[in-house]
Amino acid sequence: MSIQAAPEVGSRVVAAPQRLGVKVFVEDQDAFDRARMIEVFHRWIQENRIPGTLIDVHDYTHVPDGPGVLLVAHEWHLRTDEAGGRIGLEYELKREGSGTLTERLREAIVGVFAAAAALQQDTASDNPVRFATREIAFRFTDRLAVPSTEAAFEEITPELENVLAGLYGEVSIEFERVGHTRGPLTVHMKVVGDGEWNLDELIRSA
Amino acid sequence: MTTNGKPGASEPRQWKERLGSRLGDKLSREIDAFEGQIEQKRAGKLTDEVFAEMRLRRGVYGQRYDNGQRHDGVTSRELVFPNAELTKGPGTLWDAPGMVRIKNPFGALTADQMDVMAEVSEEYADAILHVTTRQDIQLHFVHLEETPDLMRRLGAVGITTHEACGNVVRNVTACHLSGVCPTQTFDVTPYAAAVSDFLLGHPDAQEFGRKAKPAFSGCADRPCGLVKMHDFGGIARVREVDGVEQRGFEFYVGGGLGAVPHQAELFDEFLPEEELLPICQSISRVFARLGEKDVRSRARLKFLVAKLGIEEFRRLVLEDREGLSEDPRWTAYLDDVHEGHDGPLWQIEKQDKATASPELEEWLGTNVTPQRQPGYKVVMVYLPLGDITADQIRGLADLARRFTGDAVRMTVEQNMTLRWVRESDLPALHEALDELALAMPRAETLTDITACPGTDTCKLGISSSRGLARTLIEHLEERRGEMEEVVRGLRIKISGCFNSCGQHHMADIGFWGVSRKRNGYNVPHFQVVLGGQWAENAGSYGLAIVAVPGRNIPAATDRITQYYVDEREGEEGFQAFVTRVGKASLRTLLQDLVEVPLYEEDRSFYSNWGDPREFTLGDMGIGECAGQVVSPVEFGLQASEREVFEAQDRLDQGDSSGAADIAYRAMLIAARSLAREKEAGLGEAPDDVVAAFKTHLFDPGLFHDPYAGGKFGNYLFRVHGENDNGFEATPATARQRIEEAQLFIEAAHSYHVRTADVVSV
Repeated sequence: MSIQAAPEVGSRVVAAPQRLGVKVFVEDQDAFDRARMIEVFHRWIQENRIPGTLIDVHDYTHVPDGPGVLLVAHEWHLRTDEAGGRIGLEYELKREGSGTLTERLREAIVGVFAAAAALQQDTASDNPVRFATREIAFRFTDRLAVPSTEAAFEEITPELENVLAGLYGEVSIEFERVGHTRGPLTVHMKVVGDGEWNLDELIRSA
Repeated sequence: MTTNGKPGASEPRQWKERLGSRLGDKLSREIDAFEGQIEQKRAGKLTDEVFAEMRLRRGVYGQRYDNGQRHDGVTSRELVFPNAELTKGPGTLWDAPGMVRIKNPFGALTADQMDVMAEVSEEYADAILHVTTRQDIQLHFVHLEETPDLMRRLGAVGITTHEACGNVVRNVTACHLSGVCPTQTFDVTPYAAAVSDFLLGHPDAQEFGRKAKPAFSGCADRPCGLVKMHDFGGIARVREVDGVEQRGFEFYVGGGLGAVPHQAELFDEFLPEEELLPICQSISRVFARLGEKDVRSRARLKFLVAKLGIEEFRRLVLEDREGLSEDPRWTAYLDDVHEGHDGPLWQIEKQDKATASPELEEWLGTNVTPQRQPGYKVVMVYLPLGDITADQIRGLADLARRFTGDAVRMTVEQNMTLRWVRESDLPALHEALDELALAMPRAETLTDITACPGTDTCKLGISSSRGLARTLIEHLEERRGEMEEVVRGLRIKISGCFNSCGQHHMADIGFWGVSRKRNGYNVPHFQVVLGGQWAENAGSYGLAIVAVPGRNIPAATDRITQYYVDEREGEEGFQAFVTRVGKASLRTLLQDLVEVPLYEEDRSFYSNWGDPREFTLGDMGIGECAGQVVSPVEFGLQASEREVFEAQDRLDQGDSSGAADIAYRAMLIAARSLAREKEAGLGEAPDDVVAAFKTHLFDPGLFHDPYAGGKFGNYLFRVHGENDNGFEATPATARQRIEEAQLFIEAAHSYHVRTADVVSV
């Protein structure tokens, strides 16, 4: 059974999570067409557009600040997340995961970048959806592995720095703990200073 | 309290160990046992059938596509899961995501419980909690292996999923205003709680042929409790005996919606409170002993009551009651029933009337109602389609703590309420709800549409109830400005199939999903049901008028509501209006909307709302002109539908006998239209038609519904047998026969859709 206990790592608070969400934000959310995402995601299932056991599309656009349109796969969920009034694409690892915390973070980042790149490409000809690449939100829904505490935040920030340095190079990155104190640990990261990155470059670096 | 982890490496990284002491021994053992059953099933030591019933009784359901097949709009595809050979029930794949139903007696929630629900929804599901029409919460896309931990975390805050599904006593529902309602006779909350506790896992309630749903209401007039559509339940009553006020219930049995709705029968005009639990126990025992076990479609309590008659059923129950051994639990709870289940957090002091913005003013008008306790209000939190996010429910828990005595209840219209809110706190509460995107006005109005999950997640869904509801909400919101007040107060309820989870029978305007073969393609339709009565605890049910393509339902809704505005007399209510103008005129009103344009002209008719996939595309033919050919079967089925409508009309005119005969004829026409494909020379003699139908379609299993089996075919055999035995119709039996004829014809349509080759030209 995969009701797994995360491995104990010395005296650390944080372990490798089974469930972990990574969100990138759309650049122009006023132009974002929710209904179109339903068609896009159904087409992705037909075409096996991104890796995974793609199952179904679920429309939650009636829920204010909700998950928008949800693409359900066995291994992950992908949603046009509208939490906090900010539209983005969140890729959440759900099952069949293994590896270290660093590997899980990298897997989720690659997952969201790949989905975002596919969406950019598939909408390029008409009202293209574009994503900001200088900020990312990490949501650790696996509370056993990553408790929603300051200690966990302190511990996970260097891990994030390490992974993100591989993507962005030598830049300064700000981390902020956001969201409800009783919610899952949610960390917002923002690149400080100059530099531009596109999704393809970031995927190659990951 | 949450089940959140505390910092420190010493915290166990298993929920079982972390929560151990917070679960009672009994619950802990039960969940451990279920976890063991999962292991046994994985090891091949349990059959699919046995394990399916075990997990259902734990609230763990299957979900659409769990057979590993899904039509993607082009072709039917296999979903290839890691454990491809492993199953968790007959034809149900191990890894396929499923649904977990969480029982919430009388819809009550505490802030702590809401916190944990938020956590489990975002960890194991899709971060959405769906409030059902029976005050449960459902989580979707949950993996079987994660359910024991989910149960442990819920159990730590006093919530169970035990017996949320399966052939047992389901959630005990009650009016969401119980305890604070200005019109209640008394607070039914402690009684609903007692019945729920007493019957949960009770040995006498484990051998049912089907589920049993109880409900309680504080008063007769209002709709919140819906007692008359339940298997059993009570409406609060008091009487004076020797100068002493005595509490009891006007007690009903044998109600239910489903494919064939039944109004509950009066069991006792006054069931004293001390007799409530023993009578519920005896009802369970009689149902377990005499209820149908083999034919699932006739196994609900309503069929037993109808078969025995209420007099005989009552006699059997009272006889059983006499033989019961005294159980101290029957009356132990009565010492506390006069204490409120909840109460105010804040005492009322001086309350200043705040200046309200237009938004606040509207919200106050539609979402806030007075309590029986002066100065306190009940605030309705409108949840579109019953959905709330994990973040929102966590925020709502904060507001419950801040503004109320931690008192939240869910409603049967898929909303949540906060009670014991001081009037002076309303502006601040509105502002705080607005920050959570939960301050939408117009709760319990026309645009607050109830819908079951339908094709979104339910295996039985035919048409997309939620897709239609979402579309209708947008459509009606756009027209709100020009809408008459009488229309704004109407209720719309939608089910994805005949099983009525959306409670469409009781709405002013109801819809239920069906499929029709049109122009050589399958087209999603909805039956339009008018004239149901929401008030008086679901006082009466509506009847289907005509099946309209899903695409035309918004236009049909406009027509119906405008007709009501134009033609109503004085203060006439909608149900009275429908009765007066008659179903024939309403059917005529919608007649042109029944037409389906050719596929090449408008493909949108061939998809569900909110789902771009073509509807059951695998059944489509290849000839583009095929749509211009109508097969004899389609002609026959359309003729049978006209007969059913005629039967409804006769019933409306008080001609029960004529209505029953015509309904029977409608079934024969449908059966003959199918059987003639197998036996070209088949005549019209009823015996010949029924025999041919049995030989060619029923006995080989061709007519069997994938889920309901031979249920609908058996309707024909029974009705045919009744006619041979001098059947004398009453209004109730005629109505039942019409409902059954309707379902038989729907099954005929389904058979035709499953098997028909498109006629090419």
